Amino acid sequence: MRLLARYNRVNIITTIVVLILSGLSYYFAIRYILIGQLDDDLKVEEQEVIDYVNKNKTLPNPSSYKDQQVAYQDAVGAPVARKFSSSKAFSKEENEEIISRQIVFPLTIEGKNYTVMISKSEEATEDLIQLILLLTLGLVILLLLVLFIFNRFLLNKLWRPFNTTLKELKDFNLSNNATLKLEQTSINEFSDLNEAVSIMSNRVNQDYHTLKMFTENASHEMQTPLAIINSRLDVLIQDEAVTESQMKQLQGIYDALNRLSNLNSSLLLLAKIENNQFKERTHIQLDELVKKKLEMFEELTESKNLHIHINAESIAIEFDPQLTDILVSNLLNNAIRYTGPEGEINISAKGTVLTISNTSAIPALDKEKLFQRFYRHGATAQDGNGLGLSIVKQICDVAGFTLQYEFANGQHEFSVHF
Amino acid sequence: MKILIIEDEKALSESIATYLKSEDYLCETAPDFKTAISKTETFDYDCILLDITLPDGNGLEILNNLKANNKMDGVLIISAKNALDDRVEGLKSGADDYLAKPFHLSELSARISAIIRRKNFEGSNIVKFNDITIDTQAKLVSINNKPFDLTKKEYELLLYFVTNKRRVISKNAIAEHLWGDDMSGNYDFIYTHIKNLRKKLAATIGVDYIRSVYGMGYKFTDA
Repeated sequence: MRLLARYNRVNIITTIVVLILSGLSYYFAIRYILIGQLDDDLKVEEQEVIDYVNKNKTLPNPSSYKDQQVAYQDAVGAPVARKFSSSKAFSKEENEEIISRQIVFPLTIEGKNYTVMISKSEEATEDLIQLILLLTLGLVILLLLVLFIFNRFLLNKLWRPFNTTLKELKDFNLSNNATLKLEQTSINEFSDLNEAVSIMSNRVNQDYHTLKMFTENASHEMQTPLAIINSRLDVLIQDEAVTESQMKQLQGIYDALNRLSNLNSSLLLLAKIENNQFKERTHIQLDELVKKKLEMFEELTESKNLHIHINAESIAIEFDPQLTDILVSNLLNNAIRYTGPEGEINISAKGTVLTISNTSAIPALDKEKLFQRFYRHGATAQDGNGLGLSIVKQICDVAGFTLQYEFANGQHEFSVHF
Repeated sequence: MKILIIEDEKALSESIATYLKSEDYLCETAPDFKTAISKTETFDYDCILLDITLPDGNGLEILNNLKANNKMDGVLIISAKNALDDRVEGLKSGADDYLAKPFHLSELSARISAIIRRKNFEGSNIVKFNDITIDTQAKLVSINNKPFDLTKKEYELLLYFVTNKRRVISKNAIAEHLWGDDMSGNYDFIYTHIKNLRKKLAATIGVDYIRSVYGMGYKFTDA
C-alpha cells in the first residue's frame, strides 16, 4: 500500500469520525441551548399568566395562535407538579407532525385548583437546527474533498525528491560507475536521506573500484614472478646434467606453470573487460572471423574427426576486435573441446544471431551456474580453467549482446544475439 | 651482438642473460632507469630489452630518449602489464616488438633475432644453420641451394629451432609459439609436425638435427 493511500485512508476515516462526533455534540449543544431559550419564553408566559391571575383573580382567556397555545383545566385531586416537556401532535393546518414544547403548572385561584398548559411550537427551532446541520455537513464534505485533493497534489509534490532518489537507487549499477543524480530538496528528512544514500553509494563505488583494481593489480604483480619461474626453468633445462627423472619433474612444473599463467591472464582479462579497457570499435565481419578461427583450429578438429557444418550468412558488427576474437575463439574452443571424437558441430550465422552447437556426452548444463567463474561440470573437472564461458558472458554483458544456452536433442547450443 | 637488458627483477635479467650468452650475444644489464639512460646514451646496442615499469621511471621515456638521440638500437618491450595501451604506445614510440610476461626464453630469443635481422642485415634477412638457409623475408628454405619444401607450420618450427639452435626448447614453448594461447597445453600436434619435419630433413640431408630431450622438449643441434 502506498504511503499516500495509507495516509489518506487514516486521515479521512479520522476526519469523518471526528466530524460526526463534533456534529453530534454540536447538534445536542445547539438543541440544548434553543430548548433552554424556548423554556425561558414559556417561563415568561407563565409569569404573565400568574401576574394576570394575581391582578384579576381570574384566568386569562385561553388562546391559540399558530405557535403558542394557552389552555386551562380544572385540576382533579392533587395539583400537578410544574414541569417542562416536549410532545408531538398532529396539526391539521400544517398537515404534519408538529413538535412542541410545553409547560404545565398548577394555579390556585380563590381556593380552586387549575392546571395551566402553555405550549410553543418547536418548529422554528428544528428548522434552525436542520439548517445548521446541513451547513455543517456541507462544510464537512467540502473539507474532505479539499483535503483529498490537496493531499494528493501536495504530497505527490512533497515526496518527489524521495521518488527521484528511489528511482536512482533502482537504476544504480556498480559496473557502469555512474554517480547518483539526486534532487536538491529543502526538506530535511529527504536531504538527510540523499546525503546518506550518496555517501553510501560513493563508498560502495569506491570499494568496488578498489576491489577491481586489486584483481587487476594482483594479476599484474603475479606476471613477474611467473616470468622468473618460467625463465629459470628455460635455463635449467639447458643443463646437460639434468637426468631423465628430473626432467619429468620439470615437465610437471612447466605444465602447472602453464595453467597458472593461463589462469592469471584470464583473470586479468576479466578485470580489464570489467574495467572497460577495450574501447576500440571497428567493423568486423563475423562470419569471416568464424571461418578464420576454424582454420586455426583445423588440426584439433581433424584429429578428433569432428563433423563441422557451417551455415553462415554475412554478419557485421561494430565492436572491439580483440574482444570479438576472444568471444568467437572461446565459444569455438569450448565446442571443440567438449565434443567427443566423430562428434558434430553446427555453426550458423543468421541475421544478428551467431549459434554454435555441438554434440557431447555431457548432459545438460546448469543454466544458473554455467557462466559463473570457476564453474566446471563434474565430467569435465580437469579441463580448462573454468573461466572461458565467464569471459564470453562478461564480453556479452559489456557489449550489450545476449548470450543464451539451450540443451536439446543431445546438443549443447550457445547463441549470441548481437 | 650486444644486448642490453633493462629489467629491475634481477632474477629475470640473470636468466635472460644466461640464456642469450649461449647464442654469442654479449649481454649487459641495467636494473634501473638511471643506469639504463646512461648506458643507452653511451653505447650502441643491437637490441635492447626494455621493461616499461621501472622503479625510478617509465621505460617509455627511454624509448623517447633513444629516438631523440637518433639511436638505431632495436627495442623489444617486455612488460608485465600486457595492456593493449602499452603495446600500442610502445610500438608507436618506436619499439620493434612487444612481449608480455611471462614468456619463454626461446620465444624471447626468436624475437630478438628477428629484430636484429631487420636492423643489421637490411634487406638480406638470411638465417643459416650449416647447410640450411632460411630466407625470412620470402619465408623460403633452401638446403645446399636447393629449395626445400615445407608447410607453414613446419617452416615456423624450423625457424624457431634454428634461432634457438643447440638449446633445449620445451614443448610448452613450441606449442605457444606455433598456436598461441588458444591451444597451449596440447602437445599432440607438435609430435606430428616434428615427425614430418624430421622425415623431410632426413630425406634431404640425411642428418637428424632434432634431438628429443627426455620427452621434455627438443634440441636442434649438430653436436
